[in-house]
Amino acid sequence: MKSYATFIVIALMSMTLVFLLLTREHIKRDAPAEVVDVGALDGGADGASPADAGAVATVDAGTPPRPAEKPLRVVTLGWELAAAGAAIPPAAGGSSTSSVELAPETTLDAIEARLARGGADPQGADVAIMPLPAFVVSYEKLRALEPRAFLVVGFSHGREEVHAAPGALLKAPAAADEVKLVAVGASAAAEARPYGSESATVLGLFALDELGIAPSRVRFVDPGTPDAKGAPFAAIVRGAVDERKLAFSTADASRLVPIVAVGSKGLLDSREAVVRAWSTSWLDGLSRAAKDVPGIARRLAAKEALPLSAGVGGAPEALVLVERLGQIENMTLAEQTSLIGPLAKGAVTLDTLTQRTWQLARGGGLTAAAAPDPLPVDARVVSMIAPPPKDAPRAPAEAGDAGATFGAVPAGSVPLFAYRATDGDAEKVAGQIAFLAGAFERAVFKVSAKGGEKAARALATAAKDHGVAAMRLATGAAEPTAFASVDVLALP
Amino acid sequence: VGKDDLLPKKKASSSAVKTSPKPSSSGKTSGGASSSMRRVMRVTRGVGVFLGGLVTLVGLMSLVGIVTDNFWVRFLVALLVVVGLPAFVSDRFLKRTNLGGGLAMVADIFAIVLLGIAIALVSADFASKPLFVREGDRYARSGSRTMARVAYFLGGVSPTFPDEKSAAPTGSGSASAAPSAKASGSVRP
Repeated sequence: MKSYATFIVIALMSMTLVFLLLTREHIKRDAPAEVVDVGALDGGADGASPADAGAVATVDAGTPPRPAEKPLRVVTLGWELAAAGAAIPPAAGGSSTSSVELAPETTLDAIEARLARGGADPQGADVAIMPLPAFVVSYEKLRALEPRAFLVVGFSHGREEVHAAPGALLKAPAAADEVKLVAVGASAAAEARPYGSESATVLGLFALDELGIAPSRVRFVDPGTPDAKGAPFAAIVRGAVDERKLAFSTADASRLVPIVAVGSKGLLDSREAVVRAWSTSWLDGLSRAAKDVPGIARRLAAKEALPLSAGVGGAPEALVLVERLGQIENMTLAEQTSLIGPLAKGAVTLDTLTQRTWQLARGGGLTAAAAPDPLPVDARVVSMIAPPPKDAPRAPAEAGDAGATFGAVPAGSVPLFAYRATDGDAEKVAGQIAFLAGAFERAVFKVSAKGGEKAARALATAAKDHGVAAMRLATGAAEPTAFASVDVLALP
Repeated sequence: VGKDDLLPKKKASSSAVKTSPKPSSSGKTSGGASSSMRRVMRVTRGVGVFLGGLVTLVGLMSLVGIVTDNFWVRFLVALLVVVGLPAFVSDRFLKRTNLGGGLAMVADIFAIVLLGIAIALVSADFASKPLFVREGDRYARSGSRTMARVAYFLGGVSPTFPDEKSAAPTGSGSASAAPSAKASGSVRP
């Protein structure tokens, strides 16, 4: 009899359990992606230099990451910027590094939302990969997190374009109150946003600023509006058709818009070893991705075998991704210390670019916050993992430069825009030419100055002393209305 | 008086105890349950232990997951409770009640205890649901999709895994998108 009693009890309890499980309401939810371990420290970098190996050894010798670390969640502005994460191979065996989750997003708002949630949330992020202008614009919202740029993963190479009416970027502007620029400003309508970006707007502001038009004088006009037709300048992303002629793009200004990795101060303080290991793996992933662009584009487009975070949306087609991957110039570990940290001494470093971008964004009203002091750039990761920069010989010591004369403008060169200096500070002008020479790696510069050829040669010599090769400098006899004028010319 | 009646009664009864009960021609045992009924009872008992054990195991693992993400710690602690608690209850119960029943009774107690815990966990979904969902997230991240589905099911969630989402067509209208549109004048779709 007792066996019947227990049988009935068990049967009733089983049915109750099944009933409870089957009749409850099931809500939909995005499951997080499978996490793939980062294989950075298992000697994964093919052909890694001894310096790189040493850097990895330093990571090993440092404080090792705790076992069962939470995954490092990485959000990227655009799917193409997640290519490195897709190219990182899964760790063979137990890796001492943390694992990585990728969250490619297509809007800056989504990036900010993920960073605000933090890495502990499956829909949050620890690290963001985005262009420097986007970081500057989002800094104000994320100030409480104390975000820091700690790695340069690449430079924009043709993603942003400046269009202008013929000759508009080469002559002195009219003394008007405001200058119209077709670009996406802070208050741009939602439908206008796909035609521009923060980087494109900053590129446009940069060109106008060089011409002598302060960003505060610029009035943004939304692309696609009737006002846009009469504006003399446009700063848009590649692919957006514009009636004005293309003046130049970030393919010319190949060192002007860096793509940086950003993390909060708290992350860098608490998980520095993990971030170091991730940085090495990510840079390795960039070179791996460059070797298999079709494969990576296909995997990203199909979202196949990717360690994706929860809440990731749809991906663009492989063809689009291949095009966009070609618009990024990847950085290597060896180039990091020439851009970040105390060893970065050139005219174009992450510090100088951040300062300049901030000045333009503030003046143009993209951000209301002034650049913080010190700048939100953290060199501790790079200084631990990257080898020191190779000593580049200074221009005066360059072979062939001794006693060089500044010649005429190379035949067939195309003027991109002009830099006009209104105040009479030769040292400042020379420093600016050095900055332009660093940002426009393949450009040559035709210097004209008040006082004629002699004054122009004096300025060119000062620029040469700042490290600009003499072969990239030419002088003109014509006297500009301003103190000095420098035409930036693209070689044919 | 027959010859059989002359045999000592004690011996006869003791031999009857020692011999295993054999079903009669109608299929009934000495306890009264038919063989098919015994089979049903055995299956029910197995289902109870399996169902209750699984839900309790996952529930306890998710509970331990509050403290640690380590799979082995979660699994071993939960397994210890899933086996240890019913075993302890069986031991106390059999000692105090003198009911007997052997292994079948132990299995019944296992099933009842585990089902009881499972029902309690599923009923109190306001507290257990987040635990089950987080447990499902852990399995999903580790690549154990079947276990993730089980945990999500217990948590009342229908999961969508990243590769199950449909990919959008081209450019997603983003800041990084490359639209084909006129920046001035009318916008081309």
